[in-house]
Amino acid sequence: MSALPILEVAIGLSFTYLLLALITTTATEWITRVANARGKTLKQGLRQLLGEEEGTARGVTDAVLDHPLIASLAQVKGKGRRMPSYIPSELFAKALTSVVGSRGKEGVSPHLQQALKSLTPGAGESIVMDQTAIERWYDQHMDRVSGWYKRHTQSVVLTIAAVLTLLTNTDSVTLARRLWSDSALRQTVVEAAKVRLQQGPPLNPVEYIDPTTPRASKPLLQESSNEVLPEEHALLERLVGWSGEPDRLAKDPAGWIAVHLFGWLITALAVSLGAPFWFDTLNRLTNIRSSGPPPKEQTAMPAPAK
Amino acid sequence: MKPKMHFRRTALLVLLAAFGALATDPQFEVQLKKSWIEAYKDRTSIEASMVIHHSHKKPNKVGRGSEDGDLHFSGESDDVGLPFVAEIVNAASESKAVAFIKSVAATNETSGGNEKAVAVTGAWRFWFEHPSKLQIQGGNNPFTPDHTNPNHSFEIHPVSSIGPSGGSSRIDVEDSFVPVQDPKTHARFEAYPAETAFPYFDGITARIKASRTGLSIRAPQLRYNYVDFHIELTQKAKQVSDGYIALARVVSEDGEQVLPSTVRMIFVRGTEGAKAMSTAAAGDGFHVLGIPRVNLNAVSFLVGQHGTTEFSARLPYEMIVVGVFSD
Repeated sequence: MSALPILEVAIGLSFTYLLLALITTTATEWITRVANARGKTLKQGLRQLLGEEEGTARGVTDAVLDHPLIASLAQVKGKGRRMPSYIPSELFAKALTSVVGSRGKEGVSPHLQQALKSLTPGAGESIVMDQTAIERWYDQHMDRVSGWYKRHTQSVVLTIAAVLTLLTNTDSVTLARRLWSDSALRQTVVEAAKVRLQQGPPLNPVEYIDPTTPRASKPLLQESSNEVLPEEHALLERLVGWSGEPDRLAKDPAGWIAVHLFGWLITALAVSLGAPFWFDTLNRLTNIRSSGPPPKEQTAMPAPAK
Repeated sequence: MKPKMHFRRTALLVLLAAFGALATDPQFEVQLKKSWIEAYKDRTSIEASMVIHHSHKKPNKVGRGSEDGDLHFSGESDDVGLPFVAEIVNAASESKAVAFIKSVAATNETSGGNEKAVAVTGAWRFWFEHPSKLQIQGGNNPFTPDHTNPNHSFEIHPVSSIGPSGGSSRIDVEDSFVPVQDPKTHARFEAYPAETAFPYFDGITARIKASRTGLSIRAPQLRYNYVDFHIELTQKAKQVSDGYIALARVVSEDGEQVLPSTVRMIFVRGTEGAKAMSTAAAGDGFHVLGIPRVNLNAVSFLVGQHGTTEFSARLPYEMIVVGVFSD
């Protein structure tokens, strides 16, 4: 048996996962933007940093967020304001200093008082607002908040990947079977994969204004590599879908689900690995398919001279 | 064989092939300190206090592939924080330096752990040519295999000078920065052509992730060491503290551009190439021999854009110019 069809099936699966992952990424970005998940996570993180419970009325968190330095970062939407998705540590430290200064010791929770005293150990019982220490404290906490957000996003991605898998009926086992038995379809997918790879990975190279001054290259701004092209949409429709499935489902529902469940599960998990992973995998598989034996210097480590 | 059985066996083979394909091209990771990157991103070279563990007994022959005329010696340095290999190019013509290195290596190998450091200067080079699965700059990285070619992603290559630590009797080998050839037969080393190497370099993808103080670069094992190519400067080369950095188009012998973008060219101070850059102007063309290294200036820039979010990128690279051909 030739190894090439097997490799082409693997390329076909990787390409399908990549396209679904790109759609998942777009959907995830849209959902998290509409839900302002980043802003909400930031607010939750700030509340924890400043030692306030959810729902605390007009606490230090709200005062910091309403401070002109921070409020100017928020997007105005109708009558309200949208939480900023990121607050630079320098601005946070300045806003907190201003809020604590105007409220005085009595207007600040014991938790925050304790935290601020701990940041400047030599200051005794008085609160000294050390900008650098506050910035470092905030940055360290925000690293953890980024972790929360990442975990939240991962669960959204997995959910969307599962929904997309069912909507498109992308059963990995059935797809592999189709690609194996249809050499023309395999070739079409391999060619489409090459076109996709030519668009480059999600990020493009850096350009230089002069030898030591870099800038983002133009393709970086287009962000076209994250879009699924119309031809790819059409190919995806050929590869997966619900054509003929309702009849089979009606005849033997339990059997039909049992047949597809494993394939769906593989697809959903694979898609949740993300577009960069499948881009890299597709790149490697395509390189293996198109390259000859590696150069001589790579086949053996030089003998030790010891 | 029944069709169903045939498909099951095939499906299993598909999975095995896919995992096998991934396994043949695994990812390797190096974690670097941001402070180190900022210090060296626009420097051509590094001066390191190196403890030499092992040295080749004689320079490589000159031919093709690994017969590149280099003398390899391996060791460690606090200035680098990783196991590494240093290489003198055209080593057969640098007998004084070769004798010194062999002598130090022989002494260290029998010193029972009381090894002495020497001062080595040369082009720093990150490249995933003989990588370890994971190495952490400044970490406790095992020196394995314990010979002249340990797992490494860092090199001082080419070396420009070597000598006793703190001493003034340095042996300069800057004159070795010329196209590699056999000193007896004058046979030229056969490097990879630009049309083979550069499209490959341009297609390498890496995963990069930064923390507050460091960053991790993951990439596959890389190939194509020495490349023979032509360049055309797009502007006058910029003088940096230890040489020149130039932006250049990579062109074929008949002047056609090989790559869509320009590439940074690195010229170490005191070499023939650096001397040529001191007077070169935009549009000037050169036929050169070079080796690739990760462009830490571009890595630093990309990390600045992405913060602590992991991202994929084409691995930024630049070329250390080893020699300028006289044609």
